[in-house]
Amino acid sequence: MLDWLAAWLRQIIAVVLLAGIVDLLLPNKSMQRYVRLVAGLIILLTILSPVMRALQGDFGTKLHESFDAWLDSPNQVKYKMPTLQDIQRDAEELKRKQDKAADALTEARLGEAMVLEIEQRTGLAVQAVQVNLVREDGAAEPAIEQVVVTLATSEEESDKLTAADDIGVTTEEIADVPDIEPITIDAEASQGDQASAPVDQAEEAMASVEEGKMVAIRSVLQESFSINPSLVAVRGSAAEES
Amino acid sequence: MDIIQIVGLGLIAAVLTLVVREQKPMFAFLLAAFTGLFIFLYMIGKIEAVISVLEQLADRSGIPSIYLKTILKIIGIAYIAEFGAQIVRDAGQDSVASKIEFAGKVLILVMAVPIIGVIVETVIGLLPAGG
Repeated sequence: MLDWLAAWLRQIIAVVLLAGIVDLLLPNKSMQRYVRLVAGLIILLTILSPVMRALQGDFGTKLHESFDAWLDSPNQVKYKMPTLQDIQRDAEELKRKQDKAADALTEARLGEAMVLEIEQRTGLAVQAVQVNLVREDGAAEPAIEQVVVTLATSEEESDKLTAADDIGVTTEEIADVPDIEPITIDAEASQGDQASAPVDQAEEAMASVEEGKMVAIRSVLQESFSINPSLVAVRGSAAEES
Repeated sequence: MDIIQIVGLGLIAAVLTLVVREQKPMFAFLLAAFTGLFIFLYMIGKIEAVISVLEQLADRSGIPSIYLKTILKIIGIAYIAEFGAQIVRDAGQDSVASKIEFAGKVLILVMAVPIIGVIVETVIGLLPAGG
């Protein structure tokens, strides 16, 4: 009992001494009030410590926890100012997303427009036109990488006649076909994923499309959309069915 | 002997500052600031002895080390804030200096928050629960 009392008194004396030294060390008067408040609180806590210990067993650990939580929290909450690089990176990211969305929209719209145009001008039933845009680094505008025209299977023979008119003039251009084939294989690689069609089937489908139609479609696209004919691939819908 | 060196340094700095101030007030300020910084850093090493004595005292009397830490932090904040405020005041920016002092006071009060929290908790615990 006496030991405990002695320890308590020693604590109080030490804390009061500490407070006195702090008061002495202070550089100026303006801080004194604030420091005295804190020192007074610490003295109060020391005097109260037996009461606290009686009330709540481990008040020392609670005090430590309180201090630790308090000292740690400002570091965790500290707001990190984004650097210029971060902002620029975010801007690039947003711009890329925006471009991608714009490209997707453009592809869809172009495809619709091309379907309408081809159907109007040649009378061929077009199932779909897929436009692939490619955007090179630093280029403001996307360029058309490839246009894949998928023809519907049920075409009327009479429609072919309009296309057949062109054949007479441009039959020589058949020689172009081997040049285009690699591009078509590329398209097949992207489309073949869902259709899982082997490449030779695509070539078969390719060959099944008559040259006349192909040429007609190319000329339409070149006239209306000024697309380089070598970028246009035409296929029958057989490739997608298989 | 340290005090003689420091007083000598201070006197020289003061005379030089007076001389230079006529021509270049900017350099006078820099000179004063540097002298102050030098003395501050020179003396901060000596304080170590005082702090170790305080630590021993705290150790032997068995007060929680957290008290000593808090008190030392308070002293450090007070000194650094005061020092910075004086340099800024030398430069003629009283308003900025008073803001620095304000920041020092706020940070000292922040140190008291965990202690206040524990005391308040205890007082609440003293009250009979539920009346």
